[in-house]
Amino acid sequence: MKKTWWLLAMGIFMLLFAVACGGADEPESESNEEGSEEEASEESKSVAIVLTDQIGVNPFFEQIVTGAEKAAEETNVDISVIESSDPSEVTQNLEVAVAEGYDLILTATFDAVDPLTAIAEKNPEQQFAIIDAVVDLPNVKSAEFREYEASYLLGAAAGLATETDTVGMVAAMDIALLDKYIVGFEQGLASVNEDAEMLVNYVGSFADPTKAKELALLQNSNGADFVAAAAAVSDLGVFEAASEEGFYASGQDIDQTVKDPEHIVLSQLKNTDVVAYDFVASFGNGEFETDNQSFGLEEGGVGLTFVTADSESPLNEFIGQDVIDQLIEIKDKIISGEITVDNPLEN
Amino acid sequence: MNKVKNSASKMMQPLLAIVVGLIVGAIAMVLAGESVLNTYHEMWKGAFGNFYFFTSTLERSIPIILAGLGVAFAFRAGFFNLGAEGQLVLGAVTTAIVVVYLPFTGVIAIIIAIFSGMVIAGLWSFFAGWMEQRFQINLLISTLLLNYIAVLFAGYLVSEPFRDTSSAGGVPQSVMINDAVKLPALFEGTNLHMGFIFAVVATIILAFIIKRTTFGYEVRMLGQNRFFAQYGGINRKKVMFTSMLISGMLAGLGGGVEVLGMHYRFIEGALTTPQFAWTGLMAALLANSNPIGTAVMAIFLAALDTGSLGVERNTDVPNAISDIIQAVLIIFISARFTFTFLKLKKKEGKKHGKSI
Repeated sequence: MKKTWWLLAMGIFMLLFAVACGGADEPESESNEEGSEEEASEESKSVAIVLTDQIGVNPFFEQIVTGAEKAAEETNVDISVIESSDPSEVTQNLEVAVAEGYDLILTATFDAVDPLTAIAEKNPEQQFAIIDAVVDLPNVKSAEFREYEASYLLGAAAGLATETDTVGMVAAMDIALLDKYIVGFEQGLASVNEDAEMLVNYVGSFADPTKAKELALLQNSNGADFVAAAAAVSDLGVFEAASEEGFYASGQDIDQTVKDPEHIVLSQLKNTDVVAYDFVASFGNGEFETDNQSFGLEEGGVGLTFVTADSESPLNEFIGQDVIDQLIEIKDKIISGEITVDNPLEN
Repeated sequence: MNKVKNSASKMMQPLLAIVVGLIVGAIAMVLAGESVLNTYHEMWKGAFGNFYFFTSTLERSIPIILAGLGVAFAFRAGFFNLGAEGQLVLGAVTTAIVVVYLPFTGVIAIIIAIFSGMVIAGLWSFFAGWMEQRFQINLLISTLLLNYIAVLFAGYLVSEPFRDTSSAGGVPQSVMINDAVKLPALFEGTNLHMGFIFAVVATIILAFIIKRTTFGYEVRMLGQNRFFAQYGGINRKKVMFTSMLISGMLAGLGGGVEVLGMHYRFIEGALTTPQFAWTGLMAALLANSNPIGTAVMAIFLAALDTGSLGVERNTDVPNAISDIIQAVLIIFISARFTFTFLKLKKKEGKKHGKSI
């Protein structure tokens, strides 16, 4: 019986403690907040960026924040970045962002689709935007990427460069979404090199470099001289394996070749910063429209280092200028429609 | 007098753990370049600041309370059930699938779905108990390892046979449930759902069982001294099987109500990334396996989580702050266990010394 009382007493004590801590400066900060909110609404528009995961070393989120911050500075928009770490937190953060009266709420990835759909339906007056997923509602602007076009290029690069006729890909998870990377790569590889074999392994997580490293080593021991990393933060493990064993790898999202040009020879680009910049800037300029946009090679939304964008690091001999020239041709053909890359999600 | 002293020292440790946790959190806040008072104030506001935040905290505590109660109950009987995570997930996935495939909807469908989730989760936990009884497989190890099987199997179920194919790509998840089988929200405009009532009722029932029934007495005796209990005629096998079953069912209920009340479908990872089961375990340990204490602690730990969202939104301190505080709590709790273990060993050593 006594224990119960102790527990209750402790619970009450903790509550009091917290109240005391919080109570002290409440009136002051409260008034501050209101003041700044009013100022904000008078002077500039406000944008909340609700991310579905912690930024950490995830280049995907880093880019969104950088792009949005750049646009915010140029167009005088206030932005605040809110990280979440699980689906219930995303819901709560979105709801609070609505309640706090942000003019635009920007979010990203498929993880946000469910909560955003529910909340956007409940708040038809509020404007939302989502990057890298589609929510088909009148008050939501969506941007999706045609990653498979860039993957096709990467696959073609691998097929042209490989000396062992075996290339590998370390993908994050066995989910349909990643077929955008795998199927495109496969198609590109087969188009230039019929003998090439492709090894695919799944990490099972977007943030497990240790396991990704083991898989890359495994693929290398099975003869792959080039391993494409497609697993977000887990890519770091693939890079480490490549530099230890001396094979070649490619990265994702941003130009990863600068990390280790000796071994990371290519990087498949996904310019979420361009899209985030575009969304926030158009909102700041008052040209915001809620529609669905698709970003591929043509729009500069996806690409490949050395082919669609220059890199600070030198081109590795493993790839060579010859291959790059051929890739540029392929790229032009994809844009002109001469080569069609299948969207793996539409079959 | 001694008794008071004893329970006071028992309380001191969790209290100390929390205080030190908050101090370490303060250090992290200073490192992030923010005022400590202001940050804790934001955390308080984020957890209890207004009605919406308060209900969000209570909502988050639901699976933590139920998983924690399950752990606490088994622990009371002297069995360390580390399988709450797997049981929670199995309960959730079973509920999510059953409710979609039942030919009718409504209250009865909700009851059947939740109950089947509880049964599956209970059997999963029972299975570990049975293996201990039959093959002497250590419960600690088996319950822990069964988590992986349960979580990965649930992941398979929603990736292959029961996958929602209507949404392109993304995470594996089951089909969205019908509106008629969603657990109603307790208050308009909040996320707090009926599951909280279940959690409160379960807490009270469990407290009653442990304190006031013969079975509860057997459970307590077995937990305190197995040999004495068996000597006194308590059937260890029966008590173990029953307590493991109830323990698993509670965790399964936690998973089930989270699906029907919050996510409306089973999403792979949605119950494991927030670490509900482990937070529940922590709540049970902090509260010395007292049911009411476990519930209070679960709300406190949930408040750390929701509060850290407020911190994230309004200061430069990232929401990882709650992970830091909880990590310190874990260190302290495990330190306590090591201490009692060492003390016990010492005692035993002395006894042997005397008898020789």
